Amino acid sequence: MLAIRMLLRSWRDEEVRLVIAALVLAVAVVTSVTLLADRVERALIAESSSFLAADLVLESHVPIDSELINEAQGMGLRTATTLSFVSMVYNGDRMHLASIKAVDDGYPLRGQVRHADRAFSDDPAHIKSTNAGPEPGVAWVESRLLPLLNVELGNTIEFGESRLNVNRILIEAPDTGTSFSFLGARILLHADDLPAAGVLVPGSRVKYRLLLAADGKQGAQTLAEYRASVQSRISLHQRWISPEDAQQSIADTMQKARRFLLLSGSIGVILASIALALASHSFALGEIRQVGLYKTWGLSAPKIRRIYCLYALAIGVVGSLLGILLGAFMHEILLFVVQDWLPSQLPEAGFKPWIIGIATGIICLAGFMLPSIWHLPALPAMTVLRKDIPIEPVSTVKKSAIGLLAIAGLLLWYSENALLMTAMLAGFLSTALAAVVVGYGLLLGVRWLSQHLTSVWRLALANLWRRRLQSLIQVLGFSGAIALLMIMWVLKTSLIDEWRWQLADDAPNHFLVNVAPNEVVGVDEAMAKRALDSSGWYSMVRGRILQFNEVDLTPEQRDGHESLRREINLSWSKELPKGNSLMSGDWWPALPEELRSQNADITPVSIEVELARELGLVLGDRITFSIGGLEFEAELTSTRQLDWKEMRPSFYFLFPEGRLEKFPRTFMTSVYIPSADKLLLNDLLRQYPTLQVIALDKVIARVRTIITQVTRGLEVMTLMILACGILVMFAAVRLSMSERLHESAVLRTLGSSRGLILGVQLIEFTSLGMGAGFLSALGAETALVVIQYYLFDLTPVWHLWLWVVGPLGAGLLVGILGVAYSRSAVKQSPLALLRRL
Amino acid sequence: MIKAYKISKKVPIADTELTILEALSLTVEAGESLAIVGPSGSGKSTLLGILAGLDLPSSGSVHIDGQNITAMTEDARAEMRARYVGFVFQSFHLLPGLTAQENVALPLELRSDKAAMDTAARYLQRVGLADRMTHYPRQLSGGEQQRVAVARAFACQPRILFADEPTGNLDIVTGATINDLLFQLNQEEGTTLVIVTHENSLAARCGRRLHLQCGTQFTPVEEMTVKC
Ligand SMILES: Nc1ncnc2c1ncn2[C@@H]1O[C@H](COP(=O)(O)OP(=O)(O)OP(=O)(O)O)[C@@H](O)[C@H]1O
Ligand SMILES: [Mg+2]
Repeated sequence: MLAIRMLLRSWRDEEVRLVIAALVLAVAVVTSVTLLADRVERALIAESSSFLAADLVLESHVPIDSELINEAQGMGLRTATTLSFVSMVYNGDRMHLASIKAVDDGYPLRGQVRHADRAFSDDPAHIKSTNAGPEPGVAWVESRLLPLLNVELGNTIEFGESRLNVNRILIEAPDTGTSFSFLGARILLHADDLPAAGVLVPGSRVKYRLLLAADGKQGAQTLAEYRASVQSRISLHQRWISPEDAQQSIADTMQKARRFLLLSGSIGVILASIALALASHSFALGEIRQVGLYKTWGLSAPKIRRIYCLYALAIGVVGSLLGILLGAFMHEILLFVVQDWLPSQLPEAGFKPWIIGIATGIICLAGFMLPSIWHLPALPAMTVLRKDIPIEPVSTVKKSAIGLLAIAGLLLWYSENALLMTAMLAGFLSTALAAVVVGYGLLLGVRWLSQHLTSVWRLALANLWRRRLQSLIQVLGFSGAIALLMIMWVLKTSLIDEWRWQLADDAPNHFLVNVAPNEVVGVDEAMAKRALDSSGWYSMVRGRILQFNEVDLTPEQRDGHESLRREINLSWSKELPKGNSLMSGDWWPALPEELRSQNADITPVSIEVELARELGLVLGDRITFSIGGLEFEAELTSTRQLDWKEMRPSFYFLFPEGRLEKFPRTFMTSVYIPSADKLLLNDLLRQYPTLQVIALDKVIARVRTIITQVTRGLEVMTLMILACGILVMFAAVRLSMSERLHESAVLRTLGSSRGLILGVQLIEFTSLGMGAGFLSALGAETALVVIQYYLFDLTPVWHLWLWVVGPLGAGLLVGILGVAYSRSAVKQSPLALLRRL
Repeated sequence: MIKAYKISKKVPIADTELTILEALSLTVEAGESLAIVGPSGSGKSTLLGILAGLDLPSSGSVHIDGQNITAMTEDARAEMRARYVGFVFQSFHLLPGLTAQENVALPLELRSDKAAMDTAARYLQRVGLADRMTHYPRQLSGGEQQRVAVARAFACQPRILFADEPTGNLDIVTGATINDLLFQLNQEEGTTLVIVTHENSLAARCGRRLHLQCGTQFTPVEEMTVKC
């Protein structure tokens, strides 16, 4: 009770306000990012059910026993069934091998089907999302089917023995992958149309799926019970698919994202902690007399300790509560800034972010405030009678050690990784050390300057040197924050814009694949008519993989990986293609003679590194390919990494020149097609029905918004960190406040004008800010060189404007803030000032 | 009330010892008023601190109300201070963040006195500051601040009041009103007064005066009862 009353009263103390402000900021930074990460993670996990269109799926190569379905329904589960297969569809003499998915009335159990009333349109006005598939008698088809079959929306197509009305364009079904597959155009239709069509005969390859969904609190449990009860009746041809697989990878990604956010937020926490320690130090200085009074009033040391501990606890609770409130508010701002990129409906956050926020506050308090006030109860009572009683606060070394421990603990907790924590701590410490060295150098320069200047300047600059420890702390805290701001700014404006520019405007957004040699000229002409530039033609051969190391692939292996199931693109190149980098093995010229020889039985092959890993292939493995019935053997001699940013054709499998040329080849290219020219695709597909289009424009647009939004989010965070830096400045100014007051009073009794004193303050703070700006420009430039060179493989460039805007901007900002903050020192009359001392 | 027997105070400085007080003995009766005078640096504050149990002598003993406070633990001494002792200081020692009333109430609140604010208001009234209760120290003159400090000291109803140059920071007229206040309350409450002062007028009003000579001597001005 007393502690709370003390807190309420001491709210009038500048120091206490600073302590609380520091605490609030530290907690707010952490809470806002954890809240954001938590909610996004929950949203993604919830969404992952809709990728399956269900909570649980039973996939089967044989029809699913109706008993299984009845049993599920009996347990209160919702069910739906789908059948997927390929089948021919016709319009007169035009035909196409389409990928058909037949669904029943229940479909989809989770997520929505998106469909449009216009072909080749990405205008949201034409697109609708519904919780149901097509009714019997109609088909929803992918845009590209219309030109292939030469039909319009509203026409009918032949499907086996029956005719279906094509009345909607299928954009996306929840449980189909992305649209750029090499398979036939997708068609969604109602399962009731299947019997009449008669397309399914015994022996047809059909994938049956039983979709299951459970609602309510007990849902997950019911699903698990159902799964357990039917497990014994599941055959070898059937398998379960659950969203957990997807969720696991989401959780992993989010874990990384949250760590990253928290660790960058921890810069704010560290700055706030420095402010907290400084403010606590001034607070403790002001409490000395108070403790003496307590003692004369007969309070024992343990009682005084209890008072201060309770007081600190009250500050901690109030600060943390205010902090999580501010954090919740900041996270709303963050959400607002990145909203386009997030699911529109975010689930509520769990309790963990709040706990992380409050714990951060308590740990900061314990690590940075308690050590500063720890010695108070042991102060001798005689301090009330004599001013020269020596005070023994907790030594700076001990305080720093405790502070470091607290920060290390927080970092470890945030990152859950001791190595990362050590690295970050080492990074912070070495950066701080470097900054101290440079800052000290600057101060030496200032001292030298002050000896060669006159009046105001001399006074002001001498002050900086006299309070050098404090100046250093201010410069450090402030330059850290500004440097961060600069790095963010440069990253956003230069690097990311650069990258975006690579993707933007004329960056290819469509791939044209499977173009026959005799069609190349025609396609080129069609593109030229619309003034479109392709990236040139690449030839390739389509083949299948038959064996690994002369052993036939098993059905399990084929099921395990997409590229073992269907035909893949094989290409050749003499040079290592631009944007590719060798990860292991050697490029052609460095290979042994017996592999390089054109007549060798075995040809070398280079495979994309990720794919090789997924297929379990290592250097030296043999792969048997089949191209149009002809078999040949290859040895894996190198792996490559592809650069997808380039948006030009890249091949997973590359051979040397002269090995594949004898096989029938097709061509591919990439081209930028603006929205307005998208009907070109319609024309091309009508004219060349075998040509395939892979549209990347939506993917690119999405990548672009993600980048924009992430940078905007980071900007908000940087602003929070800047606020922490400003707080450090205030806390440091506060430390010198009584000294400043005294000086100003003495100066004024000696006849100095207010203007002079203001001038001294202005010069002092502005120089401090300029120093901080210079230091941050140095730090930011160094960090940027590292980022450009190691992270983005770019040649580092200097950012001259940093060196101009940094010192000037920081000088202005710190000058104004500092003078505004300490103006009370000059506003009051000298008498009032002296009386206060 | 207070009995000091052969107290000395030595403090180590550099590699020698500085002797501030040596083998002082003195007695202060209940209800009596004693002035300790002497030049600056003669050890007045040190002596006051030891008598009040804020500090320990290097040797010798101090008894308050028959109890040897020099032999007590620090916590027990704190307990004694709580029961017997009040203070008024030269530089007031008010908390700048609290109003006059809150300043007076604070020591009472620390004793969990429920009526702290009321008691504080009553004592502020007695020192003539009824209309300044919600003012902060910086809004009060030096004399008014010291009156608040006097109210704070008496509000706890101490048996002994120690004052270290209570008028040292005030002009003569203001100082005189504070003195009046001290003696008036001393009379009304029957408090024992021990005052360190430079001021002859204040010393003259005390029942006894003790002159502390620089270093170790205790010289009688009038009714000396203790010598070294
Ligand atoms: N802990 C200590 N360490 C060193 N010197 C001390 C200590 N305590 C007191 N002294 C010295 O002892 C002498 C007496 O101090 P004290 O404060 O008691 O004097 P005083 O009579 O109250 O003087 P004033 O009238 O100026 O207040 C001074 O010279 C002081 O410097
Ligand atoms: Mg003194």
